[in-house]
Amino acid sequence: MSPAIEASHLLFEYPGVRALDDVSFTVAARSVTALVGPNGAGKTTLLRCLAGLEQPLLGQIEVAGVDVLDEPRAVHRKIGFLSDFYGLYDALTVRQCFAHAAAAHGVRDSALDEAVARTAQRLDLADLVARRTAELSRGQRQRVAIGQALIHDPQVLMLDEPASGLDPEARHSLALLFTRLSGEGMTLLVSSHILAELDEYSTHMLVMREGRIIESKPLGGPVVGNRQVRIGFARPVAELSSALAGVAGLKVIQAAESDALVEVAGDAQAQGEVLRALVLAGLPVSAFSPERENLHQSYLRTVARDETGGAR
Amino acid sequence: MNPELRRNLWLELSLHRALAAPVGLGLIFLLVYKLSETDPGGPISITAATLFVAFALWAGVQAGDSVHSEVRARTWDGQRMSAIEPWAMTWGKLAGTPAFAWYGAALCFIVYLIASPEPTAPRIALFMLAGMCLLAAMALIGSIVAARKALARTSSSAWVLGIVLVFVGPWMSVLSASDADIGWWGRSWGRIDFLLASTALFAAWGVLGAHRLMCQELRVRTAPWAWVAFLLFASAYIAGFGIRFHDTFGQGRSVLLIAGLIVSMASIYPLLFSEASGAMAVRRMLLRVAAKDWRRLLQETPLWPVSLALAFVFCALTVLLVGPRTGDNDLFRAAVLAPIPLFLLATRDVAIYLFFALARQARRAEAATIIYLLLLYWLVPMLLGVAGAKGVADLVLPPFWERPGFAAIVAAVQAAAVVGATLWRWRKNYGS
Repeated sequence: MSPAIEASHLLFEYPGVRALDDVSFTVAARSVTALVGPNGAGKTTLLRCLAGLEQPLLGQIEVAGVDVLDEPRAVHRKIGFLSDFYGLYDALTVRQCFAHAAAAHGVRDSALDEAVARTAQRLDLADLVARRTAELSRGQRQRVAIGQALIHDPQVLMLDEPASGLDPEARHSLALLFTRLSGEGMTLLVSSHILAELDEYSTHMLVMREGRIIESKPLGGPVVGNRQVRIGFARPVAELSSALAGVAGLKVIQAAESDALVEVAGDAQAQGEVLRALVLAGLPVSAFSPERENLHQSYLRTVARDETGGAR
Repeated sequence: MNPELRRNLWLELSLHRALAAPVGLGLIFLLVYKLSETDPGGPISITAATLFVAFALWAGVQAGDSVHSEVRARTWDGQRMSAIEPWAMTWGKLAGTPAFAWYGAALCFIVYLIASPEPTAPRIALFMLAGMCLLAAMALIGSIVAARKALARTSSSAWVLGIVLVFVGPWMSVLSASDADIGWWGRSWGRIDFLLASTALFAAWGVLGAHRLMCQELRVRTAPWAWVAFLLFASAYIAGFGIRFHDTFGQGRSVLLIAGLIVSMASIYPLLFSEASGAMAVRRMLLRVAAKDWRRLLQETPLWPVSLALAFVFCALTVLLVGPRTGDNDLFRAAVLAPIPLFLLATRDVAIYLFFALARQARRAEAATIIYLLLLYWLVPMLLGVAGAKGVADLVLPPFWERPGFAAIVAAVQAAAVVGATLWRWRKNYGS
């Protein structure tokens, strides 16, 4: 399957500042990619270039199979974008805002009502469609803005800090929505500072630092070459560290009475051997699972590696 | 339906407003009718024309607010992210943002046509309509420029007032000073017909200009052919006033070349101050040149280098073709060499702007340039002249009409100095 987003050798400068420095990456179709990095890393500039709002000095961008720099209007039918600093038409109702956004993205007049109703339902705004946006709370306005970005069912949806201003319940609803949209075939690229929230729905991670991409990888994989395994025991085991030390093929990282984190050298087959050895040693093993690192851990490890010169 | 027009109609033309406007205007016209003792046609038509002008000015104010009000409200990025094509966005804004003003003006237009006893009423009405289109288009251009230059707090009415004062006012007062016909390109034209045709043509250029600017805002690439065509049209239009019936081919050609030189040079300054002409624009141009990507270079270059290049062409043609062969006309004689210092001074002025724009923290490059130009063209030469130092004053503002050869040398030295300083600043700040 061809990537949903393909950027190559992007160079973007503000006077005296190189915001994007030879940035190249791809985003897999149907993925939810978390775009993370510190403030000033170039995330917003990158999103604005991908959305055709800014023009890089050099480089090529293809989104949903369309060259963004050559055909910006055509690509806007296929993508949705929510800016960090968005605005709404305060004098229009939610229904009018949605209808305008849909028509402006090429939805036919005959399909507007259906698009408005579907989007209001998706964003839990069905009861508010007759209200003017100026009368809405911050969280409701945020949901209207997200609705405007996805009302035309874009192939690629890009969001810059979509959850800011939302309460925890609304954030969870948003995470469920993103997961559902991804399941329906939409590709999402989400920039946020709230890594725990991104962890709920992201499948890939794109890390930026000082205008460069320092990591681009799928998430949820086992830690560092399938090595760390968490072992649970059915009952407390006295001298657990000593008992584990006698088992070949593992190294104890930490051990409590009924729980241990060990490092296993080798692949899944080696892990199976270790499990067999534990059972044969008479230990009451109740759980044996390779540790998976979350987005936060992965991000911090990537940044640490970059600082020591290992990333890229 | 055009989405931008529909959005504006939602905002501007509610059912209440659509009903209130004819009722309110009807009452005004009824009052005028009752106050007119014998022949109400004249007073009613004057009232309708006056109200039309008021609606036209209001339309200008609203069109002037159309883009930069969206920048203020942070909705402009959403518009730029839409799939609306530049032409649809342009006419959606021109017709939609002032929708109520257009509606009111249309009602007054009809009343004027019905009530006016003058046989010229239809042509005058069309002239007013073309003027309203011109004003709205120029205001939209002003609004886009204001948005681009981050002047979102500038009042839209200030833009409209500026447009009326700078462009429309003087032109209208000159052309409507008497009832006599107007001589243009050696022929005599009826005053109203000429005004109507001129206004309609410039309105069309205004709409085209707004469209091209909208293309740039929406990141749709365009080459600068429309700008070149406009400069040539404006040159031919202005030259038309200087060409007499008995002029020879050579004289007509000379007037055309001098008009072209004046128009292309005059256009450099507003472009320089209204376009994105800073370090990144220069970097972009240099990268395209290095890559020999001439198509992108044409599409991404600001328009002031185009005007400067055209000024150079007109300067060269004027020096080569005007003067010795066109008789004893003073203007033509001066035109033999005067274009050279004029072009060099324009080059110097561009370099002054770039010098400020290429600073690491470029702020208010436009204001700084204007201050220095005022010093160089007005204050310093005047002070030196008053102090009796005419020779020194000539080194600041070279006498390009009286001594064009000397002026060319002085202007060349000045231009070389400022261009050198600008190149030094570029290498220092952006040379890597």
